[in-house]
Amino acid sequence: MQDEQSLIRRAQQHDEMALTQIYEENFDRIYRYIVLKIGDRTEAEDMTQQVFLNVIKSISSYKWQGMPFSSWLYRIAHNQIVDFLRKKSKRPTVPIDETVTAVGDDPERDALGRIQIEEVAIAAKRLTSAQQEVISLRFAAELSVAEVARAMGKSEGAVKALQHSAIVALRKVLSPGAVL
Amino acid sequence: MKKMNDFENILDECLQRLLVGESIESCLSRYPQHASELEPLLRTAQDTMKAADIKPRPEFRDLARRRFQAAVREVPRREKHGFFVLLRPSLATVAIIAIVLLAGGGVVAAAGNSLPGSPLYPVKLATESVRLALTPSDLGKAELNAVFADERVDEIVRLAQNGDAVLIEQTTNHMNENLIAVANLAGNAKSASGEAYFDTAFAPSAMAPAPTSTPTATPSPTTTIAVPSPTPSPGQTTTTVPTVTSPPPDGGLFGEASPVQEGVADRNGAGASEDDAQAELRETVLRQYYENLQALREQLEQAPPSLKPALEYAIAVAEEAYARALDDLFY
Repeated sequence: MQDEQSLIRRAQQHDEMALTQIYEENFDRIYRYIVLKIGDRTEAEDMTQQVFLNVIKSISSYKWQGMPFSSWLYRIAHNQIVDFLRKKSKRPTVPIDETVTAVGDDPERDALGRIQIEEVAIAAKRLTSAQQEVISLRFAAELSVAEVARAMGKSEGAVKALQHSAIVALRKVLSPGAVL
Repeated sequence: MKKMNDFENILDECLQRLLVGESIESCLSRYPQHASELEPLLRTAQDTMKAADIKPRPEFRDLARRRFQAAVREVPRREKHGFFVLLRPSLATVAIIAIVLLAGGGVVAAAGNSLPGSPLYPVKLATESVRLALTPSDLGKAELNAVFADERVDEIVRLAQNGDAVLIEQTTNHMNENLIAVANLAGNAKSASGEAYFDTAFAPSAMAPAPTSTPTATPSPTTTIAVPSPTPSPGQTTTTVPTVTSPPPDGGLFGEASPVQEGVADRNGAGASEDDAQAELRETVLRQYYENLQALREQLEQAPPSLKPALEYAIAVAEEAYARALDDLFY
């Protein structure tokens, strides 16, 4: 924790190495978090890039409050997603659901027996927003339950309960024959 | 209830093991009495983890890294643009005092009415920087930035009347920076008072509700209303902004009080004045959202064709930036 505080202090002074370290340690996880939330890899690339540009702009206003620094990064990503969804709701676009083959209709996927990220993203839309957040933070960002709890302002017990109910819901939606 | 909690703990332990590479079978062997219930959930979780285990394209990763590093290197150069920005707050204060002493307080007062592009405008911005530097709290800085954003909109309106498209765009960007600062500082102030970093009211399902029927939990109701734009025009969309009342019932999913609610209860005593200040800021920004968009749209209607793109840009940026600030203030 001390190391992280020192890293952040250096980053706040625009130390290039510190900022690069923050970038390298978090880039993939932030990307996965965004893809899982929006189900669109191309958009997620742009948004991930923007998250880190926003970090450079805003890091001087960051204040250490005992939360992991990653919580702040995910908050920026979360706001970016909110902006994206708001803009998306204003302009006519092809819904994500229509760009991705539904479960059970893709021979290649069936042959590989693998679920694609876009399918999970669509399935996740059936979850409550809190369940989605837990799944994204746990499985894409790979935060611990304790970290998710702090980031969401919930107890660890509540996060575990959300995690359980989210997996039950995902199972129903992702099971063969389910219509997305 | 205890049985359910035990199962959730076991499930979480197994998920953690899967995340570090342990097999499902290994987890099941630890809890044979729960194996039949655990196995399907672990398989779904493992599929989800595998699906989420994607990497950005290498060419995108390289490009993004180069852009990031270029942006990092650009930061010190950007700060050199303004004389007063370069100064530390204390030095900037001294510089402003020196200007007042040398040229008289009338200069600062006159600068208050100046427009972008005028010789006194840098004094106006420097005065704002000093006011920010002398304000210790994040909430106070957020309030000031809201005032400055309001001032930028006033400047845009006056620049539109003068017919200066380039300065309208520059001032729009400045307004956006003020409103980003409102959002960030409001977020800091809220987390300092114990509120969560995340709120789920604007998460995807709330933005674009999916078909319902989640099996085990009731979706938490959100407290948003669709607020029509000040002067709706044909085909114009509405922007969703939060209501002033009814904070989202965080924790209502499971009938437990969340830390957010507990924090609010704790602040009802000593911290009440801070809550009042936050509520006042919310109302101020919400009022500005209505009034400023109204004012900008009125200018757009009257503007000559050469000014319309700049004003449309100002309206789009103001809509987004105010909505972002309101997100952070309300949630």
